[in-house]
Amino acid sequence: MLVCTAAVAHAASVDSVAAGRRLYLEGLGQGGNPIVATVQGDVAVTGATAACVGCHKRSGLGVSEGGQRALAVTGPALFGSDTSRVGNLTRSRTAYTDATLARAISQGIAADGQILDPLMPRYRLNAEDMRALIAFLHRLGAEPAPGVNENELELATIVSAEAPPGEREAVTTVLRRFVEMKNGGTRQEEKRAAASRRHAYGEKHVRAFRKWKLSVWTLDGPASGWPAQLEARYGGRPPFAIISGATGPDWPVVHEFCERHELPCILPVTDLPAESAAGNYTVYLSAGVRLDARITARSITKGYDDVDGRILLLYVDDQRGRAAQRAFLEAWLEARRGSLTMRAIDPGSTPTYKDWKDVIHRERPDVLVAWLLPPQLQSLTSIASSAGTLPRRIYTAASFTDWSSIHALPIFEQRVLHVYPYSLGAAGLSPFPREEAWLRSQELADLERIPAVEALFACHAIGEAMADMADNYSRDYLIETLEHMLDGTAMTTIFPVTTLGTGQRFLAKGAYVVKLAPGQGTARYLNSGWIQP
Amino acid sequence: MSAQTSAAVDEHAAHREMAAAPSYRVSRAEYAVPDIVLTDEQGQVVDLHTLLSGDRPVAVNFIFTSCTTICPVMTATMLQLQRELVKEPAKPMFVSISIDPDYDSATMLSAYAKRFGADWTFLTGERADVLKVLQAFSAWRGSKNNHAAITLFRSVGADHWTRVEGLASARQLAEIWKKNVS
Ligand code: HEC
Repeated sequence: MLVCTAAVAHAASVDSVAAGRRLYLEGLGQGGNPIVATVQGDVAVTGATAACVGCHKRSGLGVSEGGQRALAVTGPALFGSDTSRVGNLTRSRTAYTDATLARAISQGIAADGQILDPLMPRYRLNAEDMRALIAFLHRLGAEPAPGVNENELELATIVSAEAPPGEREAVTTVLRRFVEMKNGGTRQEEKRAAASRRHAYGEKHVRAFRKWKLSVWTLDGPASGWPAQLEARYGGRPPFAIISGATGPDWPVVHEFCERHELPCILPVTDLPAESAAGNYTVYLSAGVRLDARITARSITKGYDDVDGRILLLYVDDQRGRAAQRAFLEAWLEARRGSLTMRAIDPGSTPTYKDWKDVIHRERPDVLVAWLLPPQLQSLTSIASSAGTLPRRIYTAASFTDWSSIHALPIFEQRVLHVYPYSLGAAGLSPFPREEAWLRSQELADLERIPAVEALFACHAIGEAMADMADNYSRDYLIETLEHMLDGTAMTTIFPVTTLGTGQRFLAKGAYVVKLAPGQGTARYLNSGWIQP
Repeated sequence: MSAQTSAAVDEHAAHREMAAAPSYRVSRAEYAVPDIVLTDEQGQVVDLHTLLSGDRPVAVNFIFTSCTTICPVMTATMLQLQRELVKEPAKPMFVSISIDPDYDSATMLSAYAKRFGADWTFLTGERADVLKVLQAFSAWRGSKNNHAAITLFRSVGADHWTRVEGLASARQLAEIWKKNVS
């Protein structure tokens, strides 16, 4: 009899928890009605604007912003006997009961009778919605996150043979070395922390020093087979988060996988992120080829006086080329300046001088956009020998072209405008001095530079975030911490401007348009304007 | 947990409905509105100086669309303030300036305004320009996550502004407006 009642109660609470979760995340009560509340004493808020998640966040661990602090509302924080062990945003008070919690939510009176700040809305919920919400809050943050135990933090990175070998090698080598170094350092920190255990904060710090354990997941075969491989790896041993990664143009498959498991995926090396930025769990360096495309379109349609000429877009007919072409077309249609012709170039072919000359003669473009494979672009530069027909401006982009490996006549190079999102070092100086110093000290200076710097940044980002999170190992809290921490971060100079915020998923939002100068490496790139589409 | 705790407290704070400590402060300030061109939520170019120097008293605040904590509250408060002020002889002009121009395009601002049913002007612009505006109004705290709740009122032709720092109720703001703005 007793057993039977318990089973029924449990079944009811599963539904209830789901309803409470929806209320918390979307501000919708049962039956889909927007909830209503009053904030700041007399301001009505409803639905999504009143949803708890805005202030208390998905993790429930709260947030501190501009002098305002929304406290932690996880199960352990509210109902636990020792709030000092939960989160950075708790105050000491007696534990909540369901009844005092309902009072806090509807009247703003805390468990210890304190009046809550009027920024905490006072909710008018019916009994059923209140029950569901409280059932959900009991569960929020109550389970330990996967991939963490007393001693270890499990991280994984994901690579595939579709990624260029240099990129894969840079990512895995940097990650492995960083983890090795960090775990070495952690032993030192453990000793220090143990020595200072008597101090008030000692214990919290001890708990924060978990060893990192890194797995490298190598995906085989075509991307259609990846989901099964990812599930198998994950099921065997779920990591806390995915760190960096390099799988080539099929990263969206990994993106979907991470969303499915609410698995944070931090700063993968890809220029083809999932198309819809919708999703909570992957934080990208930039929108990759789509950012290049939007910036190119913006420069062409707004950047010059003679914007009404003929535009010819040559793009390699692969996933990246097509994604760039679609993003360009969309941006161009909005502005609709000049006339646009587009040509897909088979990735398996390298057109000859004559092929290119025919195209150029037929289309007579004023502006040429060339998003091609390196040999294709190299062959395109041969049109320089028939200078009379050269376009006035020739756009290339960092996702497709590295000008240190392309050689062209000055008459061609003078027309090039190259879209480049990374920092440009001041004359003769490295744009990434700290990262390069580390790579040199590790004798890893031969790794492909940009992916190595990007992977190192992913390590630093997760390391700093973990330190900030203290012992709150929540996947959502990792994302929330990074959303704040990476905004304007001084952690890396990889991009000249990095910004992030709640729900923002691309760190770099603009790029330089550079001209080519004689010289070597990025010293060839001369800033000729910054564009933020 | 207020932005100001022991700082000068406005008399209206006594009207707070809850017994919590007053959480805003009212002061008078002069700002040199910079000569800068911004973009509104329709994508139209707007000269800030001209916009603010029209024949209507103005209320300005600072928000960003990916702020889920105090910005929605500030926007909802403005909306309610608008209703509180319908009977005022001089129709107020409301302006919200984004402090996250890197992310807040005109399109983002327009969607944000629609979500709240806010019919006033939302501004964004080049990062450097927006920063100048924020600095001119002492509204920049080094990072958008460190933003302060600031509402500014100015009468037509006045050379000073009424500055409300911190969060207030709509009725408190309406009282401050009625007392200081014409
Ligand atoms: C607009 C922001 C905002 C929203 C939305 C919001 N809260 Fe809060 N909440 C706060 C702030 C700020 C505090 C801290 C108040 C204080 O320190 O006096 C708080 C405090 C609390 C507390 C008290 C915690 C404690 O330790 O005593 C609870 C419980 C709570 N909120 C639950 C909720 C729930 C449940 C929802 C959704 C139904 C919600 N809040 C929505 C801002 C918000």
